[in-house]
Amino acid sequence: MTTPPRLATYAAALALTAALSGCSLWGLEGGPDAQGAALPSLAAQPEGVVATTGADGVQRIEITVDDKLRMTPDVVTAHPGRIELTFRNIGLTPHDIALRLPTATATGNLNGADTRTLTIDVTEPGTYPLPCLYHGTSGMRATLHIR
Amino acid sequence: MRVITSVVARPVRLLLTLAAGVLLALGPAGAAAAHEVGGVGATNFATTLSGLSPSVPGVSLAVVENGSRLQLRNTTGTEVVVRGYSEEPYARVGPDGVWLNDSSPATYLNADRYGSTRVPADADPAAAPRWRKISDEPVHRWHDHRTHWMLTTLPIAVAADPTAPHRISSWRVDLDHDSRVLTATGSLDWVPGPSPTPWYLLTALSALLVVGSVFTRWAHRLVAAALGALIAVDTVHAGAIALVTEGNVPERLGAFLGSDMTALLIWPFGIVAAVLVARGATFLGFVGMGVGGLLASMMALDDAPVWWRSSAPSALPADANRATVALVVGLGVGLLLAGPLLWRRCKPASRTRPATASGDPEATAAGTVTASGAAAPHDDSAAGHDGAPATHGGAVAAHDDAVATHGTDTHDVAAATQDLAAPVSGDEGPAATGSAGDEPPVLLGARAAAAASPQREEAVVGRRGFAGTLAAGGVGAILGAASGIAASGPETDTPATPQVSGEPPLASVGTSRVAFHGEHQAGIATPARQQARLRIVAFDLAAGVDRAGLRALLRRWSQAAEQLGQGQPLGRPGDHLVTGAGPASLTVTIGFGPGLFGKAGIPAADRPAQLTPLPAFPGERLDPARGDGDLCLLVAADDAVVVFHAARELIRLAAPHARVRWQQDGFTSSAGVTADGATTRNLMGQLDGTNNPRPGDEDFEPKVFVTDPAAPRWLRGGSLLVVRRIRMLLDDWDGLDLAAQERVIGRRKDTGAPLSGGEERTPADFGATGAGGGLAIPADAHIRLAAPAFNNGAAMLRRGWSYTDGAEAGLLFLAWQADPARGFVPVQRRLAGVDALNRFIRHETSALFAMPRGTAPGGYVGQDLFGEDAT
Repeated sequence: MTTPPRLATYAAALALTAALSGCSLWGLEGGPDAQGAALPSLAAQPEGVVATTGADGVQRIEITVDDKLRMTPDVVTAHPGRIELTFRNIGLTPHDIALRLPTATATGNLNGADTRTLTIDVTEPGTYPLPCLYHGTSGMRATLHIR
Repeated sequence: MRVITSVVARPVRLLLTLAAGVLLALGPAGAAAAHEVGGVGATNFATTLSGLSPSVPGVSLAVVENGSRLQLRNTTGTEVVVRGYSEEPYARVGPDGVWLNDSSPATYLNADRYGSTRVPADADPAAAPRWRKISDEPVHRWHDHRTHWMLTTLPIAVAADPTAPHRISSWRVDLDHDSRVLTATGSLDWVPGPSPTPWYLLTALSALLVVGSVFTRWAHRLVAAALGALIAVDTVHAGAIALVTEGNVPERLGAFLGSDMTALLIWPFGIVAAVLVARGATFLGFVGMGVGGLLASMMALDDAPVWWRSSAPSALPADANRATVALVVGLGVGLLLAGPLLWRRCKPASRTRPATASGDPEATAAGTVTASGAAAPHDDSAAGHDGAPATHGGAVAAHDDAVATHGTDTHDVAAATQDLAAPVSGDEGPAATGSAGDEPPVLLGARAAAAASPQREEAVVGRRGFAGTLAAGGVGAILGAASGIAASGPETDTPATPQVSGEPPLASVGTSRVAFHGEHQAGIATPARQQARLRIVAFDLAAGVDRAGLRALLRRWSQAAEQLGQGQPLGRPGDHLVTGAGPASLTVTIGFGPGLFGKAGIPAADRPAQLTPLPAFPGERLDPARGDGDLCLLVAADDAVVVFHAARELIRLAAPHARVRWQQDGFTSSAGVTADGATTRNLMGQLDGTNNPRPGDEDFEPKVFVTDPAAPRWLRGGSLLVVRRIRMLLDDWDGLDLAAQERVIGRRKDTGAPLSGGEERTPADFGATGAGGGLAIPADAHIRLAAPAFNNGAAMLRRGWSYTDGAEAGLLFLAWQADPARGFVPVQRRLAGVDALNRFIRHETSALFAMPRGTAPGGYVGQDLFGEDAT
């Protein structure tokens, strides 16, 4: 009669101690002065990727979007003409990427693991933002340079 | 009292044991989920609604649940339509209640704080709305992701300077009402919180008061009062959270009691225990200990951030809420310690005879069990002490089930007892010292109190195993949490609990951090104790790199250096080399070689005079491939793996702007191996660095750091680094006898004292004569030739590391100075000619770098080099 409770409490105490010492404390914002906070990734972004022009003259580029609300590459350069943009969601969180072009359009809801290709014709050189409609406030956007 | 305990003791014991097991099992799970409202706990993120334009009486929009949700209330007779992310109708709120559009992705996304869901394929914002009624009330609350931070990492600008306020972004949500568009605008800001120090102090103070109360005349009443106060404050705290929880009664009740109703179990036990303790039940102090430990650890894990964050979901004013958290943690920790102390002081006298070796069957069983228990190590701190109250021996036997075994083979009993669980041996062990008066060590000097303990006649509860285990688990948990607080707190923090001896602070070497930002770069005069490991990496700039490229590289290095210094990985997928490792005082120091000037659009004429390449010195045999370089990284930490990782990641970041020219590893004694502040020995066995300038010296700064007003801005506050790999010809050196070696250096080898006498730090008397009438410190002794007094005051801060490369070994000589022309160059000129040490060393590589001044948060090292286009 004495043994099981002793073992149980001992095991539970061990589990508690382990859980407390092992887990990361206090989440995203961390401790005082954000010590131990979850910091943004510094993974180097390619600086301005140029769309590849195919044999048919269509410029193609693939942009991946992910759960860290990144678009990779986040700066795309292309020439006026027909551009095929492929958005590949490599995460689980849904996104909806708007193309703020003269002819505004958007990918529509892009669930995790979905891929959507948009073909656009751009004649005007300029800088066009591609924000995520769900995550714009959190800074999720790419930029399309046409020149 | 007697009635209560004798009748209730056994069932209470049973219940308590079971409940404690359940609570301990539930505790962490509850802690992880509790005390958030709408998925948001204390936070520095602040969502503000600036206004709804045009405003319509009866239509009110509000940010609720600390920014987690928006709440729309519409008491007009006309419906309001909330637009979704593609401007499609998402929700209708009006006299007919709330309807959601199943064709709007927002219907699915807005159900979860982080929008982690899957939107059905038929949810097309362009399709005709499919309305579904969800409520009869004209109120709707939803997680609008336009209004709050969605990422599980901090915004980049905030990460760069978390102590400053930031405007993260602005937001807009459109509502349609009666053929008008009502536009809600607002902002998302980062509002840094206050200093947690006052709350640490309040925590410590309340813990001390509880512990102190044990040693007063009213110990029981005060401990009971503390337990009651703990529960009262915890109830207020939980109630304040429940009040701001929007929702129906079960939801609010859930917020009040914790998601798994842990409070429903803990509070009644605490109240019952408080009442019984007040009436003198000493043993129930252990229940108070359990309740205190659990509530304190849950609170510390869960709600401690309210101390340093600007807002928290609570109906109480922010500081009152912070005070409730401090009181719960403080009283809880106090009770955790008070439980065993109260027992020590007021343990009931045994009701049975003391154990003797008289052959009494009862005593024999207990006695022999404990005798073999004594063989177990006695140093099990917490459990051992808590078990200590059993000192008076056989009392246990009267109630203990172990009695049943008397007369059987006592060795088996002992073995079985030990097999149950380790603490059991500690539990029974102290009784081995059971001869009266032979007390085991006393926790916190309670011996006197224990001696004066009242001889209360009371049923004895024999479940010391339970108590000891609870104590061990609880103390461990609290110390873990407290060390977490201490490790992440500012330097001024106060330990919440007294230091209890236990495991050595393994973490101190690993968790130490050196601030990256500051007036000077880290790694020059900081940390005070030079780290055990070093890697110097020199780079050549790649051809064709322009100013922008160099700037990008320096910015990237600075960010990475700061992040690595905080023990944060850089986020490269699959990089787990330092997972589980602390930063171990990692410093990264960035420098420019003379060759940088004239490349990357930096004019050659901009090279400061201090960075003039070193002249050739007689006797040196330099390998040009392993010297010089356009850029340099000095990576140092108290762990070789941490250094390797940081250097490798920084080298990866250098591509394609720069490539490695040479690398060199160095090592010295690890922290804890030699005393802090002691001069380290080089591989010749000499104390090396005795006469270094010290940070406290009046002229330390001008000697080590550039203060010349004519120097370019980027260099002012910086330092010039001379790197020389000096091979030691150790076989030749070892051929000298000790006295000859000491004459070469001018110091004693064992103590480091100058040959003119005294101790290590005694200034050398270069005029002193020895026994034979000659100079005590010979004319060609190293310290004489290198002494500032003989070099026009030339001085430098030497922070050398040893190196070894197969059979070769030597000194990686690193000298920091304001100007080599008034530091290394004159001294080396002098040494190169006549130093007696020259026969035993060979300068093999050489490099000179200018380390720019330090940077403030948000900036990067070398920023000023780029003048106007610096950002």
